[in-house]
Amino acid sequence: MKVILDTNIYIATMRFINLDRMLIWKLLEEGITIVLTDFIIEELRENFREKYKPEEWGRALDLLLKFLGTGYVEVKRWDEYSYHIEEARKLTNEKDAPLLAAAMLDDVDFLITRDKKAFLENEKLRGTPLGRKVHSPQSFLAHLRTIQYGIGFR
Amino acid sequence: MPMETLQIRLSREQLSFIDQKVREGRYPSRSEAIRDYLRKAQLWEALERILELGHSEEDEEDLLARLERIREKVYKERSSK
Repeated sequence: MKVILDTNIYIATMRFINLDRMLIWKLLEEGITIVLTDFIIEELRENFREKYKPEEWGRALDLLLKFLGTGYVEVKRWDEYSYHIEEARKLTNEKDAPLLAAAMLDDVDFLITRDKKAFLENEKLRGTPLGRKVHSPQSFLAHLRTIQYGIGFR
Repeated sequence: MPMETLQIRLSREQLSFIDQKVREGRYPSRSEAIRDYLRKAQLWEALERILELGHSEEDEEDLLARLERIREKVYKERSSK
């Protein structure tokens, strides 16, 4: 199973939201592949640049990537998913299209996010098969419990 | 890296958790599983320490708004390439 985590999940995980922490630990523990994209890495880098002193932000990003690297991680490059961006733009805001485009890849099973406006409560998206890939941390953990003993992981 | 041997006591529940991971094929042995969980905990602790340095009073709403602004910026930069 492969999942993309929205940037807001990583940042919330590291800041204050315990459910998101539990989610990342669960993914690592279950051997579920976390899919990162170059776009998400750039967002993380920007976030750390804003929040830390110059000598600290690189270390923060490095530690996060190392931590994720204790599990299964795959990085998708822009040229692997950007051909879906036009289609993704029809379903969400322009700036959120790269994330949705990566979630459209056949080998990506889920997109987990905290963004209600762009994804979770986006009616246009919810009405499509792609909408079934989109979960909040809470709904994903509940979904995982139901499928864990059913169809299994790939 | 040279390894030391030690005896540890685990609860039945902890041992069955480790054994389950070995049965699932995630780890070749109990030792490897325990070493990996320790490594994760060490990294997480280091990550938490560094994240405290960037701590602010920002609440969830402010955080999500800031991330939206960052996304806008990254998207513009990427699209202009």
